[in-house]
Amino acid sequence: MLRYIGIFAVFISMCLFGVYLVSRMSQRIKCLQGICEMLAFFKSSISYTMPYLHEMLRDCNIPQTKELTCSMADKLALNEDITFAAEESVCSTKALSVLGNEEKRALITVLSKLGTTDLFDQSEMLENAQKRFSEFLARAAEEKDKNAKVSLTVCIYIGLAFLVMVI
Amino acid sequence: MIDMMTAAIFKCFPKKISAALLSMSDDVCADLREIRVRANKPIVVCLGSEMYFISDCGQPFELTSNWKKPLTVTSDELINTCLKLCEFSVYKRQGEINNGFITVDGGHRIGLCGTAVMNEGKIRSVTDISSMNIRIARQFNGCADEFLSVTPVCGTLIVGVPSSGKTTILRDISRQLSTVYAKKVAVIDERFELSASHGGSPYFDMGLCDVYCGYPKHIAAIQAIRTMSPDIVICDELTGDDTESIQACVNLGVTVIASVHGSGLESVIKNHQMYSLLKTGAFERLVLLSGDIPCRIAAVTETEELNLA
Repeated sequence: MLRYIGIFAVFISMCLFGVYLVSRMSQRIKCLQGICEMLAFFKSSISYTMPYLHEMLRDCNIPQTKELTCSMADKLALNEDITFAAEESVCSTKALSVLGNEEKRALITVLSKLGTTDLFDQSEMLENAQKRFSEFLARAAEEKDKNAKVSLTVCIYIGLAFLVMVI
Repeated sequence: MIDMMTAAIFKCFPKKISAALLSMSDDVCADLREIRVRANKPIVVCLGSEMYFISDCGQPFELTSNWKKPLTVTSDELINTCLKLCEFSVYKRQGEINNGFITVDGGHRIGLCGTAVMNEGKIRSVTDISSMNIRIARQFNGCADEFLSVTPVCGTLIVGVPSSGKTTILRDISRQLSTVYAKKVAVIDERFELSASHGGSPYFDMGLCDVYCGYPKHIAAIQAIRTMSPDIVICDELTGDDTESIQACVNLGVTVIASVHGSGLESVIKNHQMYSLLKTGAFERLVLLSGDIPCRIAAVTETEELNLA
């Protein structure tokens, strides 16, 4: 009996872990999608309406990055250095906690270069950043599929083992 | 007493420098005309026509005295200050930076000096900013009283050396003509210096003027004449390129009051571009400002007396 309960518990916990992994990956994908949207918004704003950076950050109404952009705009209003403002804002934004270190570092680099170079370099920098984050997004989607497959396979095997034991 | 906008500029400097600038006495602030900042060199403040170093407690001292250590700015600090003054929106200020200056809130003009990046014969951007000159803009209501008492409203060209008060006097002329003299005045503020407008409202008191901000002069002049029916058009720092727009104003019977850089009337007449401006017939009088005291008139000359061929 104890053995059945043990295997059943492992089965359930594996399932839950799989669900957690997949949901975390989904959050990461959503977050990366938000960042890609944010970069696209910055690029179009700079190309067409050309607002000040703090205005652009406040006008960026993408749910996943709203906290980040508002936090950065607040920090800039306090006359903080842009690199410091970018680092602090990325680290303090809860929604970005699902991102990997490489992704966070790339985001900080983009944000700290925003508005500090001329118009042409700015557009080029945002274009490169969009490409980079699209790669991150594709990689995260792959990882999500892989994790989902692994979790599902493990759960199926444990489930089968449990069934075999019961039978 | 430092006004809010000037204090905002000081706060863009690194903390030790902003603390020193903010602790300058009221007398020093009242005389402050320029702050000259160079990479890895001491900061120089221009009080009236004199230049001084500044100590870390905000006390000015003569350039020749060695008894105090002057405040210096590193290259990185200078670039960072410049970025803060641009509100981290270099892309937005590109045109201004390429022309060698930015105008910040409060109408203060910041001259920039660095390395030009050229593309097809034009400046594409300016990098490695090495020095910066912050010119403090002020409004002195009544500084145009002398001008308006000696010259009735007619086409006038104000000539003066840098820092002789050309912009300040034009600002007060605009204010007084549009209110006291009840004239319809259009102000062409290409570089945001005259009105220091931000978000559509001028920082300085411009009376009842219609202010064209950021427009190139030739476009603003034509638009003003077509749509705002002004009696007087006022603009700052004319160049030879503005001859056509000034001519258009004259043809349509609009009075022009403008300023140009020049050390004297002769220097204006000898300048080929200025000469063509004078020949438009837009200016009945030339007013020379004394360089020693801001907004003080040194001489008034009728254009007719110049015998322009």
